[in-house]
Amino acid sequence: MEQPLLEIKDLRVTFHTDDGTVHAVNGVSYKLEKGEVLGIVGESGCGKSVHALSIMRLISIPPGRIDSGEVLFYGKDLLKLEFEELRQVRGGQIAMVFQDPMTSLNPAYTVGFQIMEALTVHKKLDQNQARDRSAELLSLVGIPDARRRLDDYPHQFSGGMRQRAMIAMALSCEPSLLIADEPTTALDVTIQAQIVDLVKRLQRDYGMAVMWITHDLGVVAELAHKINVMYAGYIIERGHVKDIFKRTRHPYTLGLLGSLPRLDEAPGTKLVSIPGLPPDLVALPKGCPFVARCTYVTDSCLESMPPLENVGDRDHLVACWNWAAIAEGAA
Amino acid sequence: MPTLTPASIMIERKMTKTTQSDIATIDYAVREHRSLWVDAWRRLVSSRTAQAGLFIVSFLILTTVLAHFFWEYNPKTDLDYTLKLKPPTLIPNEEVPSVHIFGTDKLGRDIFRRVVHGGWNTLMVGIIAVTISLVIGGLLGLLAGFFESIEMTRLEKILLLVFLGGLMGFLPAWIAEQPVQIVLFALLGGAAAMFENFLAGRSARVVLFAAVGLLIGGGLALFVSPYTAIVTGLLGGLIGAALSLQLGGSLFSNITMRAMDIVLAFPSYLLAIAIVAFLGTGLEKGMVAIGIVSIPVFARLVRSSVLSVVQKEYILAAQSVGEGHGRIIFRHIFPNVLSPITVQTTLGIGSAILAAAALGFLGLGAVPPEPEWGAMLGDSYKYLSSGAWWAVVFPGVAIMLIVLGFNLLGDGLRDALDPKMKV
Repeated sequence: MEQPLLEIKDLRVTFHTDDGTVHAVNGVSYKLEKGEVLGIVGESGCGKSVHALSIMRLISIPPGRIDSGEVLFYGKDLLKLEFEELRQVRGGQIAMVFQDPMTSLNPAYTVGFQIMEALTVHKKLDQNQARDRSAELLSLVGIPDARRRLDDYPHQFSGGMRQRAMIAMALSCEPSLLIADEPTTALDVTIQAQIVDLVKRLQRDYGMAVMWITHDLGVVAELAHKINVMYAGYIIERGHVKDIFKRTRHPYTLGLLGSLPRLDEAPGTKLVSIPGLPPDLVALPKGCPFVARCTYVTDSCLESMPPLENVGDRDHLVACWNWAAIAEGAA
Repeated sequence: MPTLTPASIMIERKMTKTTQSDIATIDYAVREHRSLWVDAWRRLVSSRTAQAGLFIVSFLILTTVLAHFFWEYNPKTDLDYTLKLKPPTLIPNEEVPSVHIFGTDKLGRDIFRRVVHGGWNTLMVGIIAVTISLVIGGLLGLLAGFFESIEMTRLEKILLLVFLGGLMGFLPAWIAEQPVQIVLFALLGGAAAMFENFLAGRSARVVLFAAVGLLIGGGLALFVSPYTAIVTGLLGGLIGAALSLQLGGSLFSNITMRAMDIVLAFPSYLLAIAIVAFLGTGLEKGMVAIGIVSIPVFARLVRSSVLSVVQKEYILAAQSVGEGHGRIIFRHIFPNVLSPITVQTTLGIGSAILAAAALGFLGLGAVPPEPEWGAMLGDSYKYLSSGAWWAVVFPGVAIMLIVLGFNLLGDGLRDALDPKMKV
């Protein structure tokens, strides 16, 4: 079998704070193939961003710590690389786009300078080449009059344009994996759709893999091939988009889908919300972290965390003791 | 294209925002890069207090610099007992045959001349002392703040431990008068960082490094005397044990900041006097003393500003495109902490001048015939009771004016650079 682009094995990340140890990521394992689009969904604080940042060792250490696990990128463990080698991967092969376009560009430099910076770090281009390439990239992400806008400062760009500039920066070295950490959360809906379309198009053209982190199930449904659903630092369900949406097997995913408003529902139907709050990551319960909010609780749920089990014929994994019962209920 | 004032361009730009047609030309006019600094400068010169500060400071600097280069003065030969303590004289008369607009002092020297020339020394103290504290304190603050939340690379760890080893090794080296110990302890620090995984987290590691430290400190000092060997051996053991710990960025920051707290715990003038007493009197030593005393102010200010900038996503973004730490610190963080530094530097020059004057007043600053405002005060206050007010008032007013000028300018800068004030 061909080597996957990225394989994460049993990744565990903790933060050591004054209030105790926060278990942010608790043994995450999965594979990402070349050219695949993976959606990662979950509530705030479920470890989706932290696990993505840990891939390139970008979490702040201290207080953070990567306790165990491997992140194999083309078979190389990124967690064990020397810093200089890691720098080649950062931006060169894996690029990242962040949530808040308002603060992800340095206000002290022009947009062009910042795009050119990535190019000079990795491609060793000279000033003029880097400038040409930057202008090309800016127009590629749909900024009109790109060559002139290179000399603008970030405050002269709107939010959507800044996010486009960020994407241009991320794409500058033609990475094989783009990690997008809630890139559309801070934008309004029309801009959101444009950014999603842009990434979709670029993904197709460049054949790069994309990891799209969001809490918006609608966006991933449109974009992703596979979805990881995360809860309290665990992957609790993973599978192809259709499986996740049509053959949902985890009560948390059911809850997430239920809390989406739908147009095709009869008017007056109440939205289902998941009761309660996510568990405190400092003191995780012994069993499944979802017990306090779940409607299917049995004794085994209180006893131990269920392992990820394959429940379908094509890589549909669920971590729930009662998935069979849920499957019957759905059928 | 018609000439437009910036304000009218801004208005026009807003109105045409939706039409797109004229925007290119107007945009072009606006794009006279109004950077943060240009904006800040405009705000600065439009504020009354800043104008006053700017005026006072540039006036005093100008007169001082002109006097220093174009008006010769030799303090060693300036002496005339016949003119002892004469009041300000504008028209020469029999008793006072020359003009002394500020009067003369106890040695018959012209006070105006000495005030004007004394400004050079005073300003030098202010600028050099602040430069010392700015460079050292600023660097410490930058590094402490940065590595508090960003993992150190192996090379940075090695450099840090070599530095710390050498720094701590200074003490036994000084006691035993063997400078080579500094080098050896620095090497021990480097070894601790290079073999950071060797016996990591075990007590055997501490014992091993303590033993090596003891050997370096004690063994070498045996050539001096057995008693010295005991003292330096013990010190060396402690240093070895300290170096064996896994020193990371947060520990570095903690150590630096606690050291700053210790310096701040002393009343600053008292500490400056103690340093001068240790180094010996003289203008240069006064500068160093005042510089050292105000290092913590800069270190803490810069660290706290860095801590807030490091959290910004553009730092994460810079890391994620693979930029190195040096580039991130100096290219991305430094420009964004520049405004508090600028303000503090300006205010710092004022207080350094004041401190220098205090040292001079106590006779710990400039060596006597050299003119310096504080020293002039100290020389003359005894004659105040006999009515010679001019010998005290003029240097005093000069000190007050320059400090006032720098404080007004600093306040103006703070308002001009504060992003919250932006319109």
